[in-house]
Amino acid sequence: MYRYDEFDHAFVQQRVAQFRDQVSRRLTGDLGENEFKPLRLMNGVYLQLHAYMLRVAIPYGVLSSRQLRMLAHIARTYDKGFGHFTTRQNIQFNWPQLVDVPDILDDLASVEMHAIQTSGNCIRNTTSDPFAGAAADEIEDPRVYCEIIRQWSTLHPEFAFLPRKFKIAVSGADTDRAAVKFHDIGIYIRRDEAGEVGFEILAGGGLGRTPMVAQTVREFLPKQHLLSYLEAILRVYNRLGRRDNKYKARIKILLHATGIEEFRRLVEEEWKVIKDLDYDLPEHEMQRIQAYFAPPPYETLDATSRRFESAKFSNPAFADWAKRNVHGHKQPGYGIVTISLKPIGGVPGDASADEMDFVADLAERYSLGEIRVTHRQNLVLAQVKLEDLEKVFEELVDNGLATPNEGLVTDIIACPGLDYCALANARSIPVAQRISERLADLRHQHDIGDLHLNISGCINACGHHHAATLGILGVDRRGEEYYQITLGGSAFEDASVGSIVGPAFSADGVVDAVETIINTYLGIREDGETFLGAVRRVGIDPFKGALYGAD
Amino acid sequence: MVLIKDGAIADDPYVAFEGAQSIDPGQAVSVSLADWQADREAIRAQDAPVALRLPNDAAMEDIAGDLPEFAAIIVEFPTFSDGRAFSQARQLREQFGYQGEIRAVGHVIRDQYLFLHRCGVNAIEVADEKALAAWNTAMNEFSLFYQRTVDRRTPVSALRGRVSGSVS
Repeated sequence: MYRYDEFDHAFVQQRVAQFRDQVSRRLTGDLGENEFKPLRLMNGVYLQLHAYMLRVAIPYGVLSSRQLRMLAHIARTYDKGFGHFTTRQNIQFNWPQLVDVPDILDDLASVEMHAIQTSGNCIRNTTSDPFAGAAADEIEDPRVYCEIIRQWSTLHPEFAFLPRKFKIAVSGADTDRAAVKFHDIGIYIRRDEAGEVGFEILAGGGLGRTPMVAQTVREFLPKQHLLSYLEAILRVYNRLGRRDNKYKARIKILLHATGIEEFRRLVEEEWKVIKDLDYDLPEHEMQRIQAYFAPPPYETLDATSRRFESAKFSNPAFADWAKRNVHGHKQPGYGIVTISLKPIGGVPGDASADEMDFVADLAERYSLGEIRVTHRQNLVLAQVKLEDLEKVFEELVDNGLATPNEGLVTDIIACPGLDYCALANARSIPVAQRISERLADLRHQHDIGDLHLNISGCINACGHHHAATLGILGVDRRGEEYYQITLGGSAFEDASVGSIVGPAFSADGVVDAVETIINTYLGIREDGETFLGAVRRVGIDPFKGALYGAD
Repeated sequence: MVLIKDGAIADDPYVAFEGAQSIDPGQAVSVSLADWQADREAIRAQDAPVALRLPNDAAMEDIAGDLPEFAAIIVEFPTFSDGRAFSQARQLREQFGYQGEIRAVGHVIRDQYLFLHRCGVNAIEVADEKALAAWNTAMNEFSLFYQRTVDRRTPVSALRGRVSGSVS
């Protein structure tokens, strides 16, 4: 993974010193909250319902064991002993004191981390495929380009006061595990007919009030032009994006208003002017960053492991877990492990300090000391030998982290909701917990199969409900929490926005409604048909009928 | 208002243009884009330095041909969160090669000073002389930068090139 050099270290230290000064001016009253607000937001400090919240950037979701231990330390020292992994591969601490934040940032800087641009109308943490560098279906490692974008976007002077926040995702694989098409800019690594590697550049995706799937701006961009092309898109957006209404300020609204052809013309015209202005990285710097992501020293192993195969045969619990939580690796004899942070009845995405320490330790012993955070709020060990899988599983069992539910109905995404968030209309976490408990039976979950159930506590859609096969949106109806259900969304390369199935349900009724929908699917599905496949085939009417009766 | 220019308090020579009759010949004027477009010949006849007040939604192409006539271009921040003028300033310097003063006016917070400077702004209108200290602090708060912009601060990528001995 990338390591800071002397320049990166010095930069982050300068940033911490700057924020320490700002906090001390706030605490002495020299700075009012109005003036302080944009400064704290640029450093990831939100003011929530009960306390400040600090969002720490995990660049493209990659952590070393040392970094994860530091997050555990912060959770234990400055918070209530846990942290919350988010849908943007970051971590949030819900209870820090403002006076402690500069010290937390110092601690983070000591392990090459920061909270810069985790909020504000600027370019946020670039997200990526949690299987990057290990996936069997990968053209090239997307982390190289994520790191290039991370550095370029850090305190970018022109793009720190955009109309609205700006999210970029990069994927290098055939399967999109990064929800690329729901980002302001989405980047797919592609190979052209001559075999050259470059990028397909998309723009205008997003969730929120107006969910939209990104559209292709350029089919193929040679890789040396990445930054100048991003500059062109950002500049068009900074100049022309709406600023009169924050709900219409994302780039997706601009792109929708101009249409893709006109948007593309504007970007290409801007790019023509700037592409030779030296915005792009010099070749030696691209190579320097690439070198950090060179394949690790893998052992030469057989593609199959006898120990792994016989353990699956003799240990049914292990087989269940391996079936859902272990994925193919490009290197023979290795696998990719998902550690579910979705225990039955638990808080999706939460991890205690002890759990973080344990996972850091486990990664050191079995996965080259590296951990990934997924946008589905789980953790990944991307470099595990197949012959070690049973040992890894047993340790996970001992630590309560072996929930074998990746991609199943209880692998729920949930935003913090009204339990924490000042924007929320309804609670997300208790609904997730009750659905998880209702559908806990593993055989039943396997029978239901692939199903993404995502919950947002308000229309801002941090819980990605639009992109779920079964999405739940919390709404406020005359002071009471209600839940609207959408069906048929997808965050993959076949991205789609779910359709609202009908009137919202009460907090009690929504769990029954979910069960009714699932039973309806089980009744109508054809051989091997997934939930999403069934919804796409029959539409929402059969579900509507089952929920509300024929009319 | 106080003008900070190139890191020092400076006199502001421009008075607002309100029609050709009201201004003495030779008096430096600041003009709105609309006045410039309507009254260009009369303003030229003043034979004095002209500062153009550029609305932050103006298309740069509309003024590109006239740029050599302006001693200063004034970019506007209706609120600090409206960052369109960052792009305008950078375009003026980098795409159009504009060499004169670029002045930021309106609601600017001190944490934007460095960003402004990096985008090519070299003057700023402030409420109070105390802002000068903040401006000078902001210029020196960071010594490392990840982008190459018109300010010619060396980006980290080039520093690395030097360290490794290659040419950037």
